[in-house]
Amino acid sequence: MPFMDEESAGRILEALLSRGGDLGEIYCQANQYTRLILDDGKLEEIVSGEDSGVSLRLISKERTFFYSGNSLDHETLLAEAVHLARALEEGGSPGSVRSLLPCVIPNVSPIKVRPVTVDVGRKVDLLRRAEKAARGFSPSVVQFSASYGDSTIEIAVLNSDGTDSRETRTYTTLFGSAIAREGEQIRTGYHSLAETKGFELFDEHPPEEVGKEAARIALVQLAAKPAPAGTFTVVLSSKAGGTMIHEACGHGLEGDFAEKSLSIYAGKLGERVASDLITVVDDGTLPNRRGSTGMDDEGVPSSRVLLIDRGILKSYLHSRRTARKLGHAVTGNGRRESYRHLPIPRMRNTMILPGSTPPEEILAGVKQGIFVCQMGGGEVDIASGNFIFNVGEAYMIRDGRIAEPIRDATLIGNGPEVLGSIDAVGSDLGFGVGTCGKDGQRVPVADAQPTLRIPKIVVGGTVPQG
Amino acid sequence: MKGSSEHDKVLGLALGLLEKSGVDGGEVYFQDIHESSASVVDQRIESVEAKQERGLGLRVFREGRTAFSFTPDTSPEGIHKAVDRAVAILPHVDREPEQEVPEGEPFSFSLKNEDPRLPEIGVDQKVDMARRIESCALRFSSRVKRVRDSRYSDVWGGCWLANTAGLRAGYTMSRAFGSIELAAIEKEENQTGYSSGFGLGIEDLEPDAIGIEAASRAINKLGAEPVTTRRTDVVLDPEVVCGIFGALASAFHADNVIKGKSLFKGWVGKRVAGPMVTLIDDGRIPGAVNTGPIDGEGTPTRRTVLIDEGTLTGYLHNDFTARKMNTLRTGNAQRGGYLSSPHIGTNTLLLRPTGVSRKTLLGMVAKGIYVSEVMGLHTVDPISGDFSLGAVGWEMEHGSMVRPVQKMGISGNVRDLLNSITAVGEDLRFFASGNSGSTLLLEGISISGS
Repeated sequence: MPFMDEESAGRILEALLSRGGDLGEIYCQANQYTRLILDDGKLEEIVSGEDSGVSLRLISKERTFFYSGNSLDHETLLAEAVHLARALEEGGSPGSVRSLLPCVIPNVSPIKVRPVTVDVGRKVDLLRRAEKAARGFSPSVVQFSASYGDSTIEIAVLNSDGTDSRETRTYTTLFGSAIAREGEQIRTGYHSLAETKGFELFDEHPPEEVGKEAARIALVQLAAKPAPAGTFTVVLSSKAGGTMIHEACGHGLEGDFAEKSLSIYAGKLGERVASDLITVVDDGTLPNRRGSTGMDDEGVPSSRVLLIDRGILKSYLHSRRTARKLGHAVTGNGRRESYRHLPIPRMRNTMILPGSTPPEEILAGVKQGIFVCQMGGGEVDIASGNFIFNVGEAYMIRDGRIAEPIRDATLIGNGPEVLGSIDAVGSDLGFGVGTCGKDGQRVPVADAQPTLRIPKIVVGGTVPQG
Repeated sequence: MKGSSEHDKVLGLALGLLEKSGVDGGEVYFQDIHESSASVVDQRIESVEAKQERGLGLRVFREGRTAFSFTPDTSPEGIHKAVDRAVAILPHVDREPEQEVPEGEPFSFSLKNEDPRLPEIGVDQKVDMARRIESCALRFSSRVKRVRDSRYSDVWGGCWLANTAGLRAGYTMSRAFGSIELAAIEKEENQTGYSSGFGLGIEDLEPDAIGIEAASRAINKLGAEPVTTRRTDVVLDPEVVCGIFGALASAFHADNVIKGKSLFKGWVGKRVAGPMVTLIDDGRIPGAVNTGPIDGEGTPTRRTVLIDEGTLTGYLHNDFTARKMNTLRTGNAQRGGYLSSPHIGTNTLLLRPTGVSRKTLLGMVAKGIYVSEVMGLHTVDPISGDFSLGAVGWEMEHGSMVRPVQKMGISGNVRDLLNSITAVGEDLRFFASGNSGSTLLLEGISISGS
């Protein structure tokens, strides 16, 4: 990797720690990316560029001093390092800088076809194929848009503890959105493919899959009635992905919230926080999943973290800073959107592990309720544990069977209450992908869950008039 | 500000390379922005940050095609590479005959858009501001137990544009922000509160107002109970209104209208809201977050009436959509920095005050719900208009807040919501997110609970 030689890095780290401090760090990143947008039958936009930059971080006790910029120039960075060090009191003895030792970072997501080697024409073709499939699905599909994106990100983390961790990450995504119309009714369906894979992603999942699935969901929405309002039994299909676990407990287990006792899960290690059917892990090592990386953005090798074991809280998700503050081991969850940002504790691939009940049995046990097949985005209030997520594809359940489709439902619950009440966990497992936002930083994540039954949860829907 | 001669040099260099690259036209956008922040918890420094964002965005045009590239490297080699990349992808883009290099347009107004002292503010002053916000919040109530982040941040710098149609424009700006996120705790219950404020410079910030608002928001939620499912009158807090209109904004973007991806397509001249609703996008409000003399294509900003006393009057345009719909540009091409191509976006949305004070408006509610915060604004669908939000707030009786409530859902369609507006408060407030809001009274809204 081109970034920085050992001597240059050593001088910058020494400058950072010239007045003392516990950790000096250099984070270098170069992101080569391509993005294509097809909309309204036209290949509307192609963006191609390279975003590169460096950040410097100095940690002294509880305090963090940070600089980021686009310049890779040694003299500029050295001057910025000196400037950061000046924030500390004069006369402190210099902190120690160990010589850099290259870390072995496992390649968790092998890439077969690097996207940067693929001709733009073939990327355009993917979008046209997805569109053809969507429009061909039904004459009611009146509009389709799709975007393709790939990023090849080279990262190097060099710090005063001697860490020299480097890796290259590859992200490939295809997103489709279909609009179906009948009379005055207009509904939208979405589908996306997103993995830490190269262009071979489309050998396994042809782009037609995105077009057809988006169109199918749009048509289901067209036929759907507004969701009822009130409290219902809800079955979350494994097909729906894992937005619920991401919102209901994932964020609350991030170490920065735990460290400041801001989360409803703070100070509860060893305590029961969910039903004994619930085991939750966050795993950065699953091959080619969207949240997978060989290391986090502080150079800590990725791992699998057991968060909740049969209902008992076992661990939080940590960055170096929060782990040290709480006296816990690092977990490899210190992530950042880019060199412009400080690393903070984030999820990677978060999932509820499968149980033993056949999914059909879970459904059969519900007299009246709601069956959720696709979850949309969500949000959580960390302190109270109250969360919401919206539902894409969903149906009423009547006498244990899937009945008519419903639309525009939002599920509104409280993390520990919902996790404590789940009374059936399926033997299946399904993944979802997303981009998670926190403190203005967006990072790629995946989540997964088996089919689950929540006996009672508020469904935000429409109240009949009169 | 620094770089005034430098930007001319970079623009000239890039324009020269574009002219030699065999395209019909080109556009260069140069940005040089500095950001800084100081964060405090328990009066102790948590972090001090400084960032510099500097780079070029390039658009090339040929026979109705356009392509975009960018680079942080403003050396001749760096710019050359970016031009080559843009030219290479150009043939793959489909033609749009109206896609041309935007022409410049003279303008004579001037805006106070920066505090020239901002770049000189020292770290100590920034830390002190963050500390003052925190102490105001903590002093307000002993139930405020934890602070997640009390923060001062600022941004200053400029952006400059040049194109082969002769446009040369640019401006400098500055903004300072203060914010705090905290939790109030009582017995086993934890509730969060957040507030922020902004201005052109650090002296425009009001640390006590920010601290007190965040503290009272958290305290007000303590003891909140679930609601019963019903249809009722609802009052929306200005910040909630700001969020909802922000989420709905893309329905006013002309490109979405052209593609049939807006619930307002075909509604110009028709009634879309209650008669007291006048919705405006304004790019020249002094001191608002997105205010500037020109948009991301160099078009002068202006005031655009979108809904006039309930009737839809128009859409938000960039150069391309204005040509395509044969109308005037509205100065709404926006960029998310040098890395992003210009896309339509709002400057500042605002509801024109109608002379009803917030107090009078609240007094109009015999029985209802006050919504103080919502979650899930991403569920607002600008195509169908459907939305389904999570909310917290108050049960209201005879104009007073009587009992805090939480875990409620508010659902419906934006069309119905706009038509159900029966009063617009005159308490117009601008938010750090870029838009504004006023207290609204709505009738007959679906509330979900137990």
